[in-house]
Amino acid sequence: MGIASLSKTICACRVNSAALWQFASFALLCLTPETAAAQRAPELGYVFPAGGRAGTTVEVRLGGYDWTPDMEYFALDQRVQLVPLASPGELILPPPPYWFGPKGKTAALPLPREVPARLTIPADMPSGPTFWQAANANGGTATGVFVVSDSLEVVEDEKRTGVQSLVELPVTVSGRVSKIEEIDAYCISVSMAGPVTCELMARRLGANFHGVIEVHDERGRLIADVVDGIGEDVALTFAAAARSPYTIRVRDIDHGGDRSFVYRLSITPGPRVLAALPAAGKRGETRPVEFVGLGLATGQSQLETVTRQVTFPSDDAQAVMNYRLQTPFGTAPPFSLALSDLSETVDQPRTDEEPRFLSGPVGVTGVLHRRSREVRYAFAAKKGEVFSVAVEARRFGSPLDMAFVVYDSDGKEVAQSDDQPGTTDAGLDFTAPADGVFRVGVFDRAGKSGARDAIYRLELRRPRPDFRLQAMQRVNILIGGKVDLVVKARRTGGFTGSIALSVEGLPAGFVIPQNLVIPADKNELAIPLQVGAAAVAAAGLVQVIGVAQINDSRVSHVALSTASGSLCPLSPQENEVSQILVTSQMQPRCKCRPVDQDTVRKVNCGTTFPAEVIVERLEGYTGEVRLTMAARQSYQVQGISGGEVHVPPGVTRTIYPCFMPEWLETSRTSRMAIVSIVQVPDPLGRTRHLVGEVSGMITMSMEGALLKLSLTSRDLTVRRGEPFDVHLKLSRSVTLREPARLELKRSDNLVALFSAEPVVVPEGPAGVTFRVTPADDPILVGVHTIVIRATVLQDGYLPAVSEVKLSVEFPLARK
Amino acid sequence: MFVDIGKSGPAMGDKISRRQLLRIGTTGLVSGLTLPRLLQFEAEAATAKSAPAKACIFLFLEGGPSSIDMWDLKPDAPSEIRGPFNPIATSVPGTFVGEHCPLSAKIADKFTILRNHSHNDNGHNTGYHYMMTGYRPDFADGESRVPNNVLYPSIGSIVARELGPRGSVPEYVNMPNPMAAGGPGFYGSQFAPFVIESNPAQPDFEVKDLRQVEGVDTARQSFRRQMLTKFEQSTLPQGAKGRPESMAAYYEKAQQLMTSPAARKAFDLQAEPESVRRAYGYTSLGQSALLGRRLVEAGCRFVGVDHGGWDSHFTIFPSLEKDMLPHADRAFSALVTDLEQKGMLDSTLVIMMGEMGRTPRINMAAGRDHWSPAQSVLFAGGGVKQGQVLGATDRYCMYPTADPVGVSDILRTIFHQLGIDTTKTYSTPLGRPVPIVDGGRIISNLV
Repeated sequence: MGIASLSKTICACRVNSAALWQFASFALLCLTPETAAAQRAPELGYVFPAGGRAGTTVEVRLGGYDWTPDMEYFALDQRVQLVPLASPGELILPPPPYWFGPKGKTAALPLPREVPARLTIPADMPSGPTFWQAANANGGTATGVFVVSDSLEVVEDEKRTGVQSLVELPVTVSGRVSKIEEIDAYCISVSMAGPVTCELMARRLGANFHGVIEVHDERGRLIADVVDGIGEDVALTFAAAARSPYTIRVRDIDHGGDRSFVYRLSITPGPRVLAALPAAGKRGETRPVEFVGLGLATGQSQLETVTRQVTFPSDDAQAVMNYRLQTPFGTAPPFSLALSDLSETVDQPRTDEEPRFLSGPVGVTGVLHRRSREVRYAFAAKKGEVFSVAVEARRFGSPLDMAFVVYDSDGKEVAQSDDQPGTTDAGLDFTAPADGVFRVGVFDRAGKSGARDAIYRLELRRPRPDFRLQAMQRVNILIGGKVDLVVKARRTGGFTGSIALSVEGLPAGFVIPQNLVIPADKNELAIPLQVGAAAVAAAGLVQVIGVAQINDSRVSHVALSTASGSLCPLSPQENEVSQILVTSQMQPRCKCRPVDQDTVRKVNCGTTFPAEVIVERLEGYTGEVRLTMAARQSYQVQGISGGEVHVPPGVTRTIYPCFMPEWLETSRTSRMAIVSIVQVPDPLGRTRHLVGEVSGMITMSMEGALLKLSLTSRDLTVRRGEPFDVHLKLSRSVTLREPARLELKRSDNLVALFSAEPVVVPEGPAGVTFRVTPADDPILVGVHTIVIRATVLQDGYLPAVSEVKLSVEFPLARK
Repeated sequence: MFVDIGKSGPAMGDKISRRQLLRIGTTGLVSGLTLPRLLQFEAEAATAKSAPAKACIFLFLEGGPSSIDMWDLKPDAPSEIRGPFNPIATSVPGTFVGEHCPLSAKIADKFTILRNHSHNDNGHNTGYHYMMTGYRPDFADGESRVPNNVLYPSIGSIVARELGPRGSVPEYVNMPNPMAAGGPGFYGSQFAPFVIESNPAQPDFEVKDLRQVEGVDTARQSFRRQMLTKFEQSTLPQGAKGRPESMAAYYEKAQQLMTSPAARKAFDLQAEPESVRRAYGYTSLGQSALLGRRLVEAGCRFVGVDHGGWDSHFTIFPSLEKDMLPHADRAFSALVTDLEQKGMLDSTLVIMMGEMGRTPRINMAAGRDHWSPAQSVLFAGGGVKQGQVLGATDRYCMYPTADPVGVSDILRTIFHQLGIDTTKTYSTPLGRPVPIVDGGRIISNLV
């Protein structure tokens, strides 16, 4: 069961207040207010590397979409410092290879700009995810994840050409599968034979790809692999021989790749814990815990158990403890044990059908060791008493998908629960309809029962008088406008009183009313957030704090929001944050549209299509307008590019040149989405960059190329330092009458190694000899690929381009 | 030997190029096709059929051309229906077409406009399937494999099967892309189109499949074929003795195509005078039409030209005015004129149409949407009557006023003109009988 069953869950007549509460928070996440019309708010992309060790400063690159030089960046945990080191760079187009055919028609991943930044993590920062956000005068972004660790960190060397060696273990590599077909390979070796565990974190970083881990031995044989086929991060444990090299490969299941495909690969010479009984421990208690995992007892690749005495911390603020199980075969990666205030017990396997009686608030960890079996518990209740019942497995990393049914003394079903919003775990608040003994039957819907790691935890408790607050995580308000910040309250344990709210950290220019109270008879309050017409565009993290008098105590809670972080959280709480990003947006100053908006124009491959764009200035703005490619395009971009066009003041119609590479398929309609950017000063004199939507897309149906350069030379073997000739054939349409210019196109690493004088070829088909001079540099030994580009200008300014690639080999010895 | 062409080749499904043809194993074997049979079939076809048309060039405007802006203007309709284009007179008194089809207007006496074609499948892929096979698809519209006609054969495959080859070029060709519903269906790969996989409008156009592989001379090719034959003989199971011979014949046919000077000549667009190429237009549609003429000249039976870009839901008129109409107008008029000048028009049926028309009422995005109830179809040559308009639509070009012409009517008429026995029925491998054309009638007054 999954999120898809959400509607079913909320329609169930017995849905409890907890479910409604969780649904409300889910809905709040989905219903983040839209930005003003024609405004293009920035979007968050990724951070690379996506993690760092506590007590260090990490140089990172933040990636985002439709970012501008006036971006502000926020670390949601104030202990972390996030300092940008420069403005966002150029738009980054995906490099080849490209997908063609049906996959070429899949949606394009957005085009990022990157910002170098410095993240400083204090030494006492606990391990785990921390969130960050960004904003500009067009709005605020969703949240991104950065992981803090307490162990050795290595960053992938993205410029390497081979396998990257990881000398010291355990280690976590922050890497990324940055382009299509990329496979990242790492080499390890262990000093002692035994289990080695590899864990991939990608979806938990918000990276939307499906990871694959493959382990190859010294002879290149695949000895272990694991594939994410369901949208969950993967891990594997394999038996390694001592001092034997192993190559660990990471890729996407579909061989996709993008700069946003960041990951963290943890490699630990040790076994892997899959489950613990009990799954939670009472704070401050020391007790035996049975661990279930791969190779725990013998180091072999099999499911085994060991038991250890574990002392659980007593810190009320701590929700989990990360336990590292030590074995003779190495220390396992950290395993999360939940902390509770209840008495925690382990339900031993039972063969009878009799329910186990629960005499009071308790946490029970059990194992569905037999397939398709319902396990029963019982508890006594008086009419009207309320119990919170939760049966959870996913929260603890178990493969089970739990549900339960509550029966009365006559065996009649009186309540049932399945997936709660954002999780496959079950839970409800149960009000006893009469005095009696009630039975709870718990069962698995995933068909994963029957193994020792198929654990679940039943929690039965009387809810205490309290409340929780939930709010949206992001609010964008147009300057001069108003948006309601909705705060929802969930009261428990009989508390029915009012809740006073305050908002802390509002940036200048934001106005809210005084005396904010959620009345006793209401479950929410819409706080009208207003930004004055003269206000300066600003962004900031705010907190909504609720205070209530409960019995004799004054209880205070911060409203929580659901952030966009992990794509596969084990529980909804994983993505909860206590900050809300509020951003005031400036009015758009420009409205643009292509003349041939969304209409198909025939364009030849390899040419530049001059799309006419109408530019309309708004709000009295008269200055320059820039047009550039939008971050969000339609299909796979396949090398389509547009650059940046500056539209001078007063000009209302311009040309946006869309370069359409020669390799585009003629059976595909290609589209170009652009945005407008204007620079305006705000009242503080700061330059703000306003990004506006351009209505519709420039739409092109491809025709064959007009210009084709082809090789008549075969791949060459040449000497260093001695010029060599490349023989080419230049074919062109009769419509291309300008001379062609042939030149060497060199990547950065070849600029100093190859040179060539451009060759100009007059109209007509021609055989061309193109002379290339290589440097006399030993670094050239080997095979290099050079690219020769032919360009003919159409109408004097629109380039038609064709390129050829040629492999050139430089033998080891100079002949 | 079985090679899964789907894994190693481009995503073309049953449409085979020469490269794939050389790799195909069991599909051809199942059909039992042998060179002697092929030659016998060809000989029979050449003597048995006497019909006005020997070949068909099918210009398929994929996406749905807008009849009301091209061939069936309604100048008296409200502006939100008639659009911005005006009618112009043609060489046929009383016949008017859209102002952006002036070249076709000049030769209107050489073709017939059928204005009452109608069906009720408003999907691209499904409409394409219906139009090309005469059978409604069993899949929903949307992205689909190519070809999407897994069961029912396309017109081209039927023509190829019924008429067989008459020269050294393939009898059924698709260009420049495989037609989405141009596959052979249950007829099998031997009736799949030869797809040229290259755009005739490109200055370096050549059919790569006809090019001798660099470094592999004739002797080496021959040696490779012998190796293949030996391999097949050693790996095929007992009882499959006759199959290697059949495949050898199949490979032989493919190699004939590769090595045939006549075939190479037919595909050599550069041999056309510049003035002719220019007359067709240096566009994908124009040069494909020209190549189609050359292939028909060399013996091809059915040329399917797939020309996309007609699905204009947004701001349709600039697209029509600047690109689509000039390209189609030039290509169609040049093809008909050229065929006539070469004395081939009477024996070559030319059809231009799409899978549907477009809504007469202009939508909120200044575009026109899918509209299958009314579409104009152009017929020229191949023994059809010329210089006439058949059928009519109502005042808004919404529906035929009477006697709508369906898909089966068009297919039956095409087959009739090509001398194909439309009463034939073939059975699928599971024994299901599938008539060549499901119902329909020959379009009255067209032939």
